[in-house]
Amino acid sequence: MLKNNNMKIVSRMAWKRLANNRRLSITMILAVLLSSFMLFSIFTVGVTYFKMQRLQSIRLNGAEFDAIMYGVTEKQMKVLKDNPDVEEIGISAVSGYIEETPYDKTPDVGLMYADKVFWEKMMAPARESVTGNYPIEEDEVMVTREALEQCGFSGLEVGDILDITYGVEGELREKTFRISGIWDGYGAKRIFYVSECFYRRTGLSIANVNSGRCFINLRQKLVPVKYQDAFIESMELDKTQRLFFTGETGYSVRIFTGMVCLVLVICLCAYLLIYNIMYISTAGNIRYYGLLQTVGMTGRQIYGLMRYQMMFVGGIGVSGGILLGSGTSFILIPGIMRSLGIRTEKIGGIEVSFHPAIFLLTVLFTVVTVCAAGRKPAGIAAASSPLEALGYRPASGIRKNRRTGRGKILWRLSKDQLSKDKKKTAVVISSLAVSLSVFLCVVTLISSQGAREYYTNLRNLDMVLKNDTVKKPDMEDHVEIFDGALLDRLDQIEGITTVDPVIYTEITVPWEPDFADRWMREFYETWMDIPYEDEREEYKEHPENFGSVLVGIREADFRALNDTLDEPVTEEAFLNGEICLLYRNTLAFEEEDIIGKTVTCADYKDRERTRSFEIAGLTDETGYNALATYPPVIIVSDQAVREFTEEPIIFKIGIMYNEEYDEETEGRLLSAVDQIPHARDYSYDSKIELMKTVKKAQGNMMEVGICIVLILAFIGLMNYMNTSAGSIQSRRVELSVMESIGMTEKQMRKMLIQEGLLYAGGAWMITLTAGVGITYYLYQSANYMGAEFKIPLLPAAAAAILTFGVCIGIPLVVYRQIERESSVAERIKGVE
Amino acid sequence: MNTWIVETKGLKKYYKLGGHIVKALDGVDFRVKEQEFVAIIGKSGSGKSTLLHMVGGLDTPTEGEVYVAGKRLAGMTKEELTIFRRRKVGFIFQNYNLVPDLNVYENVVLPLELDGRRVDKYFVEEILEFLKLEEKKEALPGTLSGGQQQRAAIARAIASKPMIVFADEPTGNLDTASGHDVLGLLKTAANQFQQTVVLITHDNDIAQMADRIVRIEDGRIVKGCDPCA
Repeated sequence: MLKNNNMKIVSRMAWKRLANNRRLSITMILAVLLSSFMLFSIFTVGVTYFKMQRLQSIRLNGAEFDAIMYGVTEKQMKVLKDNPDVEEIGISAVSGYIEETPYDKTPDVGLMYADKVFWEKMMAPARESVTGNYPIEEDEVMVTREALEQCGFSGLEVGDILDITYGVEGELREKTFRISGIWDGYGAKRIFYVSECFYRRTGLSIANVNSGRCFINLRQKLVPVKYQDAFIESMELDKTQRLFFTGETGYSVRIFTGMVCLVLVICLCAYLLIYNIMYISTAGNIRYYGLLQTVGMTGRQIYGLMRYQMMFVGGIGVSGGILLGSGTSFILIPGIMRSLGIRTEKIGGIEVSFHPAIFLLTVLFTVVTVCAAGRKPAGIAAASSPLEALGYRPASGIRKNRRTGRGKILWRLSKDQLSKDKKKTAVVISSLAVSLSVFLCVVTLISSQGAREYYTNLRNLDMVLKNDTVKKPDMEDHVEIFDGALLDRLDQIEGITTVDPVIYTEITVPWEPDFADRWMREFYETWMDIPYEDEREEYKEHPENFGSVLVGIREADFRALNDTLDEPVTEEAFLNGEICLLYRNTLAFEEEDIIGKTVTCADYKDRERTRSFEIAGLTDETGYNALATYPPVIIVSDQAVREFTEEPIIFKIGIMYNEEYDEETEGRLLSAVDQIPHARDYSYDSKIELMKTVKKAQGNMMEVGICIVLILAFIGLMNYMNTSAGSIQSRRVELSVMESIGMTEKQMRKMLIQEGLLYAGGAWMITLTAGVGITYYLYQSANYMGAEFKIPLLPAAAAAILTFGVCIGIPLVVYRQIERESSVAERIKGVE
Repeated sequence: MNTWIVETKGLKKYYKLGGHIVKALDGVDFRVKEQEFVAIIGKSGSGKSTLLHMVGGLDTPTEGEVYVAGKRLAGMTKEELTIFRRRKVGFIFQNYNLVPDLNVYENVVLPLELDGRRVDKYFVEEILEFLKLEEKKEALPGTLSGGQQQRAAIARAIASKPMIVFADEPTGNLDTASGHDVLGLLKTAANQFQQTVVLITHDNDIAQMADRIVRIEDGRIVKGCDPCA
């Protein structure tokens, strides 16, 4: 049989149907438009966001690399070069430190060498400006203004000369350097970069873990843990060497999985949005398709008609959505940024850019969803007989009977509305829940990136003052710069709540076979080039050549430190000076190897004065190391140190403010400290400054993140508004019948409000259970910085208020509109 | 003092349609006595349904007055009108217009529950039994035949003991036998519960069951406007 070419009439009918049912058509087009808008703009802005996040990591790391290796031999270098997965290898090397300058006795500045790859390629993305060139001659240095300031130099430019005393390999040398260049940007800036020939003359070696740093960039950006292990194994590290992958690379697979999940959830959100509205809209018009059947339209033609309708709706919706998304991504967001005076042409150095994959994904996904969503109602219409279709009501035929309900009539009617078409209700509630979950997830992820979530130290102190004289190799140069008078002054400063000094005294740890010998053997194997046996006798005879420190901490520091231990120690015993903690110093000791043993310390100046402590635990916290020592750093209570020595030195002071990030208090504090006699010999770690640094490194990441959240919130709301409006529209006859038989406006409002409450309540129940669970999983998969999982309360509360407001308000507004359009009689007649 | 339960004076309803004025009702004076069974007949588009909607308080006239049970509808607020409808009037529609999610019993008692009144279960059971629906009281409307649905609609209309029942083509979707059956039940029920019935139909045979027939053409009553005529 020859096929009739009737597609022309079917297509014309589809178009006319859409043109004559504007409300329905607009609702459907809006659903498709919003979905494609959401997919397009979220992914476009999202890609920008992640590019910015990558840039932030590069800036905070000071260079772009995937792994860092401490100490690299020639053989290992060859392995790296032969590895096809390795894209770039950059070398940097510690070349000494600045001991003093004519203007500062305690500058905190190092000397480093960087090879061409590291300087020109890896560090480049983290640099903002360079004047001059990287040093070539032995006496040339590349500096930062910050490093110059640390050394007490001011107003120097490229070509200027500076005299410094530097230390290398335990030897102090004097030298006049010429500034070959000045740079600025991110990463460690208290460094003078030196030339290769300077480095070669220091006698240091790249193979030495204390000097050589090898930065590795891999071709692949997804690096599974197994690959990381195999890579580390292939390098055949000796005990002293270390190889670490950066947080981002180390967690790359987990982050990627998390992001894929997030993308899938956003796609699900878009799918539900389209499916919802298509299903509601087309199912409400099954009668129309029944009518078409009565005049002779076949099931296949009805399918065709639906297909054309979907094509028109999908085509207009997708085009509109992409246009709107493009406008938002490329014009609105950069425009807002500009109007806020944040940047001019670029967002944090990264432009919001068009990506064809996002365009294709949006089109493909939307088209597939539109087809899937229209299929079922079309199937119902095509499969039912004309008379059945004419009498079709979405709720009928599912159950034959219904037990008479109990309770208040309006409440019952509201509940019935949700239970009559469970699938539809599930879709509406779950789409709202998915929107809310995505919102919560993204807002949590973004807020965790906030600079304010970064901790500067174990106790999240606002300020740590540090005594720089303790870095001097000669003990005689260690000065008590923070005296009791300063502590008293700090205590009196308005806005400061706690002032906790950490004290230390130099000690020796006499040789004994049970603990000290084992510790030193392990230390040499891990950190030293020479075997322990070569120096064992010297250690036995002259432990003063292997000095260490006894550190005293107060109760607050102890509690914070104790919380980090797998097995916390007894507070009373610690505060009484019976037990101690040791800094592990990355040695391969397990707790059971050490705990219970006794460590003895002797006063450095008076070796007869000794004291023993029972070792209660090992800590990896570096914040209480006064000095880098061979024997263990012993951490005891403040009281125990004061009992042991009369003149302990404060090496740092931890300070908490009444209010976090209180710049005024910090100003008062710093001006007080600047008045001490040794004002040039202290440095500090300020949480406010760290926050500012991180914020600067982030560029406009937060603003872009907020744009994503706002788009999500807008889409979520529009989604529900559209769905809710569509649902009320499809119930207009039913509601009008209720009105005709005596349901007052007040009762109608109450019923619709209760329905809205049930929808919103249901959605929030899912969000707070499954949604938060998924959010937690996604959060943790990307959380390589160990930021605390904390759903930001303000956006969550705003979302709750908005959800309930919209769920309650929209049905009321839509019904009010319906009411105004025509009389009850006309509305009821509309169905006939 | 008049004894009309329904009275209209100079009732007009004009619509604008494509630039033309359509006169659905054009000065109708119409009266119904208490417990009377009146059938309004007329061709399609004659204005009979519009008249019913006006007197039922479902629509507002362009001009003229409507009095039902001594109350002037035009003076009522929307809320008052709805409550008035709920208490004094019962509606039966051609398409039954039962709430699809409620079973027969729930549909029948819905106006009572909306009014906050205590449901007289015995009375409702009596109505259901009378309308031969006692077996179907827990059935959903979608599972019933047209005749059964219309009987459920009648039950709903009379369950709140309204003074007057307006029926708009109640047999329009039913076959002849079911139509007569339903209407017979409506008439008997109205007699039993002492209710006035205003019935719209275009079927002369059905109209013959009424106490009085009013003919309407082009928005005007042309015959039987008054019970005494």
